[in-house]
Amino acid sequence: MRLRVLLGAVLLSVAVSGVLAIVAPKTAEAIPAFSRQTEKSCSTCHNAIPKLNQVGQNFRTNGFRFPEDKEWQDVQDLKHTPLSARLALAGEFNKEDGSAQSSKLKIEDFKVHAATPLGKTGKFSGYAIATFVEKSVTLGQAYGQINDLIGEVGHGLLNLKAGTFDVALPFLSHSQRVITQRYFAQEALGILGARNRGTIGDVSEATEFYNTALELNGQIVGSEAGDITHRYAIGLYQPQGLNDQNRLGDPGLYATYAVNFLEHYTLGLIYKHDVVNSTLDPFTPNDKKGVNKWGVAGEAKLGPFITTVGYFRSDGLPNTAGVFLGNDTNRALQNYMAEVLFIPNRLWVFGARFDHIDQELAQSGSRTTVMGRYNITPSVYCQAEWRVTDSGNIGGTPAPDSLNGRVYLVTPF
Amino acid sequence: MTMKLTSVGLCVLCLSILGHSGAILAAERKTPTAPEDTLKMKNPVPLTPEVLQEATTIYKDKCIKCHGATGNGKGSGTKGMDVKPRDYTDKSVMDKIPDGQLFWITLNGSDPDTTEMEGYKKKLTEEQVWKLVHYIRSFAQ
Repeated sequence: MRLRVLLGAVLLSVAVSGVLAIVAPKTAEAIPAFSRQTEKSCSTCHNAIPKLNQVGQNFRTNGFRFPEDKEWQDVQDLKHTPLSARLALAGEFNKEDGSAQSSKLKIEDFKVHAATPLGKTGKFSGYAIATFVEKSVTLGQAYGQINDLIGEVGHGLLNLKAGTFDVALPFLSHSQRVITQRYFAQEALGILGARNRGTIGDVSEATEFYNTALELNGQIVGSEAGDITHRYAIGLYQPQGLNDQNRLGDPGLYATYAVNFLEHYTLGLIYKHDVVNSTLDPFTPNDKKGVNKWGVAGEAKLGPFITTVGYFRSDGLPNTAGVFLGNDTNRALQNYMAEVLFIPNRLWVFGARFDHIDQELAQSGSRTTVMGRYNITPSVYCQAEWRVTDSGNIGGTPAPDSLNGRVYLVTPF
Repeated sequence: MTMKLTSVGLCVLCLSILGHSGAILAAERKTPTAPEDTLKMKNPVPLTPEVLQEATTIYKDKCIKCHGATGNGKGSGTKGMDVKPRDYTDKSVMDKIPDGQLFWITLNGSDPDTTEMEGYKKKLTEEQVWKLVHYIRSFAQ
């Protein structure tokens, strides 16, 4: 049954892919907003969609302008409507220990995306994504940025960004996942992006949650490939895990720094002072608590391999309810992750990730994911993922181990 | 038990991929060659200070991000790129490339599978491209 469902999903993807390969335009001009505006191909900014390479990170931080040339000024005339859309179809297979397997085909989501710099010098940039998923519409990332508060115009030395967006590292964030499985550092720890509103271990894929924040960010980009690049950000945000009461009264604070050196290596640090309620640790009263979270990650791009490793930590809350008598540990959550992407050419992407989480006095959990992607056109691709989850009981409630298969067909236009 | 075995298997696969990183597949440069008649073309635009001045402006607007301020092919836009643009300062390389080839690649782009060099025929006139050829040549002089 399981094989039949997966086979069906693969065959459906291949059939739709074949049609798209015939009808979809192959040129860069035919794909989403930034590519149409700048007349650059996807691979100028992406190692593999949606993961940004160094040029893409420059472009994004700099308010969707390339720092080293003036081609972005073409965009000011809005020659091309800064709109694009994306349709994702998915085939799912799920098998949890102790329950029957399930499978389905569905429309994963439909996204409409608008983004552009505005004004003669691109002083202001806007970005918004509306997502239609499971019969509802949500606003994903939506923000505005005032560029070049100091320094040369078009270099993004210091910018002010406000809105709802992905608070994470420039090279490692949940909006840049090639392997679509979520990071523990996102959904459980709330360091890379916003934590799930629900319980830890909730693998719901319906909607991403972003932080509403006010951020000063910037970058120092050398003029040559071998020069060191610095990216930095500091901001205040509205913690996602709180109830709706007085959320502005308890802002979170964050800072990130990333450095690219020797062209192929990147190191990043992130710190968050988050405000959480009891969902982080079930053994504490239901009250708002400030916790320190931090992480360090590194990435190396060597030929066709991109290897990313990270360690993330969220201090736990004091054991105030006396559940563990005589134990005053703060039960910090720790996360270790390693991911490898193998991109041998413009057609294929392969990847694997190991993601592990542990907490004192709890059974640790891990997720192992492998994926393969075939790019039908520069922007249209089909992707298959196989996920093995050893859930543990972090968060208090033991979750069943599971196997999950996913097949996606993603068609931006 | 099955899941643990599967996890171990997947980890082994992951490590195998890592292990292969020792044998990195360096992408090869596959520059297309211009048609014979274009290859034989000589630059029809006379070299003057005004021509170079105009070409400098075009180069700064369109090319500097990847080809670099000194023409060495190491602009900030090439960070992490496996196949970098040609080094225009290398006289031994540039002497082997005819004007017609530089002109044709600028208009039509290079290998789309290994490079980011797109064609500029929609953005630049042929006369502007010939002026750029003069400017590109100046890096190796």
